[in-house]
Amino acid sequence: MATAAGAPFLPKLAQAAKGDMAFSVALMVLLMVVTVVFLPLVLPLLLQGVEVNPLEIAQSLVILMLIPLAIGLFLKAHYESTAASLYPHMSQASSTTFMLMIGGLLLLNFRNIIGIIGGGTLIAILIFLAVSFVIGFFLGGKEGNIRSVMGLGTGQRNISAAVVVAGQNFSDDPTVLVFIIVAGLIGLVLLMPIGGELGKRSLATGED
Amino acid sequence: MSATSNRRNKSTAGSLRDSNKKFGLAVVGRLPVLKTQDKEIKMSEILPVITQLAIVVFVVTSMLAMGLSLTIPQILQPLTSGSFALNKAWPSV
Repeated sequence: MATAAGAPFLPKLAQAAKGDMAFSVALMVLLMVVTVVFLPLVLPLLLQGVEVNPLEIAQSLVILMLIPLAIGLFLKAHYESTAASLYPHMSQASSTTFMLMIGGLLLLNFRNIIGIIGGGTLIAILIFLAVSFVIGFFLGGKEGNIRSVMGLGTGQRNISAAVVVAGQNFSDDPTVLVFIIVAGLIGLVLLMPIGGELGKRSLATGED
Repeated sequence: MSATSNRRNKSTAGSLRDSNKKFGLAVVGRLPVLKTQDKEIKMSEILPVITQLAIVVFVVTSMLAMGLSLTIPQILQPLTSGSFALNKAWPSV
């Protein structure tokens, strides 16, 4: 999880934090592309015997993220009125499915989440998330709308990439997959209110 | 499907129905079962499908929305200009 960055939730978190949206998309695309190269190189050094297929990671990221982003950018560049009329619907659909996704994942993983409460796993997840967020936030410079995006972008990991690696290497140990999904879910559930709080502070200090 | 298997299925469904008649809702494991006139739909079977669909639709629509609201230069600027990235992160540099 630590080596997988570029989560698709980053723009949504940046939106909640009133962060710089263009910067959030740029950071997400950059982290995503770097992850596809970085993860297969570094993970075998950290975990002996682990093999990572970069094409398998890239496939879902390109199909689900980069192609829709490119279509949106193309429409914005060449058919601006169509883009303007489509945007509210896409934004609404994204917000609705985001809530549906969180609710569904919480319900489906309720037993797993309860199962890790009280153990060292939850503490490890919380420390990992807090340290990641703090590193990104404090290395994010002085501008509040950039710093918040950096913090959220570092805290939120790329779960889909981590799941692909877990599926390839730890299919005989389902706890690895469960851990990744639960950690990703806890990260999202924690970072969303943190983003909201950063957004309120940003409004209070009058930043864009 | 054999007659015995049919009878067994009907019996299981029947016992669930009987035990939850007054609620119109049966609980299998932790998730409810929605009842229609002809068949029962287990939420434990539907929920993963709905959630997976929601994840895919969320990712695709949020990426589309980002693309529709931003321009290519806006996104490329932080990636192509090293000095821009440094200025954004550390304005004093």
